[in-house]
Amino acid sequence: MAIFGLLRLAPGDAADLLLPDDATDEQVAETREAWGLDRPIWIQYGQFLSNLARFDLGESYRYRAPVFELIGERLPATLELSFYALLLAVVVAVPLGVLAALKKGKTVDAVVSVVAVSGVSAPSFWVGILLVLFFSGYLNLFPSSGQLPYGVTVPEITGFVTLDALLSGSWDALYEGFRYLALPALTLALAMIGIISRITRASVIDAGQEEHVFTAVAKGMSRRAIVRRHLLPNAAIPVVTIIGLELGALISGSIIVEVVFSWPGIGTLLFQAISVRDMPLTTGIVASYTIIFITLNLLIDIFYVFVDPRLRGSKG
Amino acid sequence: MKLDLLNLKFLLGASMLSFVLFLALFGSWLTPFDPNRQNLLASLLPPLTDGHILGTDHLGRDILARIISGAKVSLAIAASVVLISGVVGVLVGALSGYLRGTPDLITQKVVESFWAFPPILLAIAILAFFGQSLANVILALTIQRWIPYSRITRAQAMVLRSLAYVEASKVMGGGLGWIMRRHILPNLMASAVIVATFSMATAILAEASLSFLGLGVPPQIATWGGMLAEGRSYITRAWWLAVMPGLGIFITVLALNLLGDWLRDQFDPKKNLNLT
Repeated sequence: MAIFGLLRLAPGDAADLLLPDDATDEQVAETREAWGLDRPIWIQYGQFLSNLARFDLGESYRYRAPVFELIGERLPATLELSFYALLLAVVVAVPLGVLAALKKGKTVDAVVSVVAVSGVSAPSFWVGILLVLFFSGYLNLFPSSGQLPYGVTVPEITGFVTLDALLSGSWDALYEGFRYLALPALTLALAMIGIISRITRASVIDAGQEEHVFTAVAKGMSRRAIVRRHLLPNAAIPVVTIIGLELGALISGSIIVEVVFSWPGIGTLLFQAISVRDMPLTTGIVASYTIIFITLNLLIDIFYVFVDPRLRGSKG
Repeated sequence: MKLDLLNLKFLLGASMLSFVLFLALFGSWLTPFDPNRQNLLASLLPPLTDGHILGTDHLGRDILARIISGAKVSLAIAASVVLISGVVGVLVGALSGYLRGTPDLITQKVVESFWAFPPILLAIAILAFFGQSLANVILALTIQRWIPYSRITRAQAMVLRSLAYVEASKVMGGGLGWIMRRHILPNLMASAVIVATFSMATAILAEASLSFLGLGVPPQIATWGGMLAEGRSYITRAWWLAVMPGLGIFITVLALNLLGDWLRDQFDPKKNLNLT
């Protein structure tokens, strides 16, 4: 049963795993010559794959360094920012959505829905600039760009600034790290909060329509227990799905947010690479983003098995 | 008339969208300024000075005039993107859902491979490799945008093909074109319109993002995203440069999202079934 569950989830992803690489390859190699839309040139594809397998993405024109190394240096910053943004979004959006669902039709619900639709509609680069105007320009509370102030360094253990600061016990750097993270992470989170809270609301309401919930109410189970035992577990699956779907938005959002806040991640690197026409670097970054995206999607699929007991299957 | 949240969404969305459309269509008669006329003596004027309602930018160009001309560009690009992707997506979805078999298998593979890219990244890659032009911006924005249409319409077409009247039409000798035109496509229109509304909103956002990154239409054309990117460097001295065009994007996208919500609720089949 367990194997069946995984196999059932796998086909789409197996195809995904193979195809995007050839699509990237085609962007890489074929675009210069002709407009061969979806048909991979197998030899080039093979070459590309074998290079990729050896982590050889060529050399950057501008930095005169292997693309793979350049990306490796910047990747932790991107992952760190995305992680905190996603964490913030989930921590804010899920309770908001549950609250809106429980108070369906009341003022709270309306307020949450207004917040949600505004969050989805506001372009992140604009929100970022507004936040900078208010929090760094007006209140002078948070810095507007960069990852750490000049002169503050952390010993490089994992490459993730906050984690390294924690591990090495440099509390100043930890504090500064979070101050620098605040605005970009908030900007990136805001766009996701809208969608996640809406889906949470809808799925909690759906879960509330099930008969076992009515039974629980009839039994006189407390409201709290019903929410915890019957509503949240059933609402979790669509919420996880949408978080998975939001990873794409997270990635594309992070490119723009990094540029707005001069965050030293691969989004900013991509922006610079494009503006100086550094093709190997651009290609390498596009390929890395795609690989990250696919890997995350795969992880989400595996995560389902933990969230949804039906996919887990029983022994025997 | 009962003014509940749903009606409110429609009223707000429709009035904001009409406002934006009105500005885009007739705005150039409302302001005496040319959007590209530079006047360095009148640079960075705050809003409401010397007849510049929204102020001027670093080159002394009138911001309102530029926002109006940017609105035209944004709406025109987004509308063409939505139209092209809608037609392609609905046709692909309807055919593959109705025909099933090999055509369906092939289109599903194509869909999967396009969908494997994070949304804006593919657009960035296309523009970075092919160069920037109006046509490439439209292509870059269309390339993934037809997929949601095809997914929804495919699922619906699969249901429709087994309905009695469609089978009857087939038995009586109705050709593929006839069945598509008469029975399948009309039934797919409602969901296509809903997808189109949301898609228009994301197309405007994506176009603005690309322009913001300097990857949109050529820089001499005023766009909301491009204005924002330029204004960013003056943010501490002249906030209106970046804030105003962003407001334009926000209002337009918000209006479309509200209308999309309203439409979806109108056509929601669940609403009629839900008796509790």
